[in-house]
Amino acid sequence: MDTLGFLAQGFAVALQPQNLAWAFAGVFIGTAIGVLPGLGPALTIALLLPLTFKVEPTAALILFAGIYYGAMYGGSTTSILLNTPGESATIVTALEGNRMAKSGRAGAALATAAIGSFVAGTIGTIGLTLLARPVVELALLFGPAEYFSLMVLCFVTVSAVLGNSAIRGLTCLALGIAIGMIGIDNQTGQARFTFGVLELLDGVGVLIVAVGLFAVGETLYLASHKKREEGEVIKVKDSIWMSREDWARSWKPWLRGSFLGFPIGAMPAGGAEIPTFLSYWMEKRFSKKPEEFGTKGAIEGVAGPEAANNASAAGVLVPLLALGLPTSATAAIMLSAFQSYNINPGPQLMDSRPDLVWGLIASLYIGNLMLLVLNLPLVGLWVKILKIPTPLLYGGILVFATIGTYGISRSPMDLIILYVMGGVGYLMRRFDFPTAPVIIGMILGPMAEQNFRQALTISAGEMSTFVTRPISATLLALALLAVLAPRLYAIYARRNAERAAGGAATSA
Amino acid sequence: LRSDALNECRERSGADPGSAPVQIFGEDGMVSEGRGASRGLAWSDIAIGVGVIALSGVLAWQVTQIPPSPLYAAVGPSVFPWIAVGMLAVLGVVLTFQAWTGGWADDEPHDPLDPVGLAWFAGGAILNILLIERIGFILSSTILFICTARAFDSRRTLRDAIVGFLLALVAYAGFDQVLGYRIGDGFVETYVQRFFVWVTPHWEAFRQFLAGLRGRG
Repeated sequence: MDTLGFLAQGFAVALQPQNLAWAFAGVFIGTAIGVLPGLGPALTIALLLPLTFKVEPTAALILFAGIYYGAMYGGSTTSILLNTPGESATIVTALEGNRMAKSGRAGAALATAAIGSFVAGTIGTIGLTLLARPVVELALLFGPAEYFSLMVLCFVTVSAVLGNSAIRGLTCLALGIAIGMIGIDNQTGQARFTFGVLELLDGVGVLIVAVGLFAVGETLYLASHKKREEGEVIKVKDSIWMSREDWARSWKPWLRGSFLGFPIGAMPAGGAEIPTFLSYWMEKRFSKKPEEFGTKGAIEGVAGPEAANNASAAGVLVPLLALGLPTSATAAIMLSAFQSYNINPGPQLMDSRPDLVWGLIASLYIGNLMLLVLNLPLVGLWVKILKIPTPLLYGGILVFATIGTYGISRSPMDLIILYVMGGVGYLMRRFDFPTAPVIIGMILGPMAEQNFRQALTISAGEMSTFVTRPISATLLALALLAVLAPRLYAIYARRNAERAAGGAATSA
Repeated sequence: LRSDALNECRERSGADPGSAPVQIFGEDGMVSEGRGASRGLAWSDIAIGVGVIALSGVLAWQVTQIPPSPLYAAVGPSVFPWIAVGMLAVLGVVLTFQAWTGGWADDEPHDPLDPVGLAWFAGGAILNILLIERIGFILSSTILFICTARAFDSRRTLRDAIVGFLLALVAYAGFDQVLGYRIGDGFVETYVQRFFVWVTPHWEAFRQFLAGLRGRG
């Protein structure tokens, strides 16, 4: 069967009435939670994981897909109206969007963000549809050695290339790998890092770590470093229907943002940060009214980055579904959701459960359309959610964090782990350590170990297998390049600057 | 290209190039502190660096506790743990060195520490761990809710108590009825369960009544 046939089959699954209802529930809840300040898509999915109990896998995944896209939409509303972005990817949206809102154009900013998200989400989902099969074909060439090298590349890009500091990123990655090793080793049956605690033999769930780091850590940080003045939710005064000029200024940034966001999101590097910043920079260059950037707020500066953000969200699903490789914290949590159903995404899944994978992809198209319809007219409802008083909001988040951990296992030990991770999350926030590498390390660490072992078993213990197999060697070379290139460039740039400064000094 | 774009964003908002991208925020453009020459030793940063080294030490001790595998394994159970521990040790040393030479934690502005908020938060968390098995999820969550709200300077304790209690009650009941999952037992939970036992036959009767109406129509 070809891609279109699979997609048609997927739509047949996704269009069943109860699956439509799940998709709607997903986008609705996802938007509602995503709107809450400080709650990004990763945490939204983690908090809502218990909802999938006793729901069959297809429905659960459709629900997640809806939450994933919904949380992205919700996050942009918060950035525009409150200027407290939930995650790094919406920083840029807040930059221009909040200025537009302050100068009385909140409606136009929300509209261009929502329609841009729809356009980009659809383009991204088309990209996912088209790329899924070819990537699976490619993945069939991969043995354990290649998978291991791919994971090394992913480790390096997520921790050392993205973010502010390679040292701090790698520290978090190592911490994540160590957490991932807790419990009984799959292959040898030996207990690792358990400190003699019985409950740790089963390992520590990604869900607990994510909720601890993101929800508890963030709440603790906000409670102990309070802002002196409260941010104010800006009223939407103007129409949410964009003017002819707004459309004319928005459609190109939407397309440019989409074509920037999707490929970067689909790379093993992942992440929405780079494409959104690139898009912002590009739109400022192309804009006919650059003077609006940073003053009254430019609509291009909302349209482009918002599109890039959503397209990269679709891109991240390519390595997740086709290779089983999560490249963002959100993808890592989705992977653990798959795993809780004993489903392992990757080339085999595409063949063994096409209804599941393609049902998920089809429901992304549907969810996106629902979100467009849901977001613009209902913006008043989301604004109300934004007005929940801070003490009640964070009290509620902690109660839901309790449900997400203790509620499932009924083990107080899980609560202790949750709060310990909350303390770690607080320190990471205060001392500017990135949290995503912890989650990625936790998920990918044990997977990398498994592939490393299998590769060495195949090569009869010969370590050179990683560099003699061409694909594996290429991936490792890319990883090395990803670490070294920015450093070499920095040295080169500094030397150039010194030479220029030296030249200026002698000529004077 | 990427670093150009990032710098562009920073410059636009008036930040120092090379500072964190998150710094773009701030009410009117920028909150930039810059690296002051007069900054002394960054003690808290040093504590973090030393903490990472200490953690690697504790984990290294744990790795030595892993018994050798009775089964043959090309890569034993300690290999990857050693890699993680080694990374942590080396990075801890580098972090300590960075802290020694100026630190990084104040590169970004942080609001000052509020010990009262921290204490309320920690108190709520510890009480929750201690109480949840004894008094049940609903009451324990109510206390957690009150303490957290108080950590955010709420003075309306009665309102917080009511909201927290209702939230926990609805969550408990929803989990029980929709997902068929009980979040533990406890004082209030017993009454909720009794209520469900009491209401179920009535609810069934009501549904049959409705079905009867529809059948006649």
